[in-house]
Amino acid sequence: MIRRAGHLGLLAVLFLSLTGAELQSGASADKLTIDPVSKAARVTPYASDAKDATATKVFKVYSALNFTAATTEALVTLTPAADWVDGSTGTSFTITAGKRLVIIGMSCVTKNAGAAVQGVITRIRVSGTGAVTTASSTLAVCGAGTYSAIANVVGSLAVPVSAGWPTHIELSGTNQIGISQIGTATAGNDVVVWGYEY
Amino acid sequence: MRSVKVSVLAAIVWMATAGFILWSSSTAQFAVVDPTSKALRTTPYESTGNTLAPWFDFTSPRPAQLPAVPTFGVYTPIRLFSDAFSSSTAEAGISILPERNYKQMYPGVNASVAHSPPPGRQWIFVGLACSARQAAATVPHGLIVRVRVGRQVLSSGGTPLAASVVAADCATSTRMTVSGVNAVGGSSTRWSRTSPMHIELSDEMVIGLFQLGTASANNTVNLWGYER
Repeated sequence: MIRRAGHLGLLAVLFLSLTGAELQSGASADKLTIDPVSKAARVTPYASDAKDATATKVFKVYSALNFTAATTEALVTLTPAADWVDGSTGTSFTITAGKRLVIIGMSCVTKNAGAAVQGVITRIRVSGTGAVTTASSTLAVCGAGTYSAIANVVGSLAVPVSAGWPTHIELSGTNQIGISQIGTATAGNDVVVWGYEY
Repeated sequence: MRSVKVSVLAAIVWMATAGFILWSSSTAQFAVVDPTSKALRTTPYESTGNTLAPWFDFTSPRPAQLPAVPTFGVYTPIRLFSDAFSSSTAEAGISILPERNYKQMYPGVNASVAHSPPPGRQWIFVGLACSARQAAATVPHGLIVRVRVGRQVLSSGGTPLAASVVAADCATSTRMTVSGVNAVGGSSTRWSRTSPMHIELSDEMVIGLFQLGTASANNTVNLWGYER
């Protein structure tokens, strides 16, 4: 019986390779396709939520350059970028519906605007209930300060928010993201958050 | 015709119950039906050793949210760097000669600010490091290096990089206040993580390094990764 089924299987393989065909796995929606021309085999992997982290990435950057910090915490006006094209500035951004935003890292810099030391703390804020405020949940913190009271001296920090798959931080389409700042009330501060949507 | 249908159905049943390996006829790619989970796996064929499309080799059953593991082709180290540039108080591009496989990428070509992967290739940068070394004993100096990335336009000049997206940055400062010649400050930024958490740049993109800080010499920057 097994030998007979094997013979039939070989016939089927011959048929598939000659004509091109699709074969669906019984345990999932994974799909094997035999190209009718090249006879190459391709697989469309199964993902229960129809997402695959490597299938389609839209690179995301949220940044603010040379912003002025304040001694009272406030939201930073950010420039969002998608696939290296800037969008409209704002303080709270919704993750694209049906997508997930993976945050890879963030960095912050403060550069003495004058002959005095200065510092800034930036916080990634996430809200699951509307726009981000300074009271929203803190996802990550990045702080920087200068050590010399001389103009243009800098302090910086880079924070690896995610450590690599699957130890990563991702937000869903129901979340909004923003950044708050508090520090010396001077200009010369940068914050950059980068990652991708999938 | 009826016997062919029977053959196909019987083959699928047999694959699902016994496990099966299927080779494609024109490549070395093959697919496996797992005998336990019935899920499919493939080991991809890459005729050039480089592929821009992700091919997957996944274990089964694959939990929700656990990603496929891309199979990469040839990794070729690349580097955008400058071992001696001067910073300025106004942001400006850093002229660099890119390296591929530890050799100058374009021999005979002058250093420039904007760079792109060759057609059909991707650059994946892993990290960015910068350092500042005091050129004088009088004051410490600071340095900010910004990685800017833009999409190329059809004109040969590409996107004006100074206005492009800041994709990552690195900043440092020396801390000596007196007699600090050769005092050094350094910093680094991990731009990418393990796959798939990396930033790929296609040949549609143009990348450049920009600096600002104290007007001083003796700065370095190193942006490293690989081409595929």
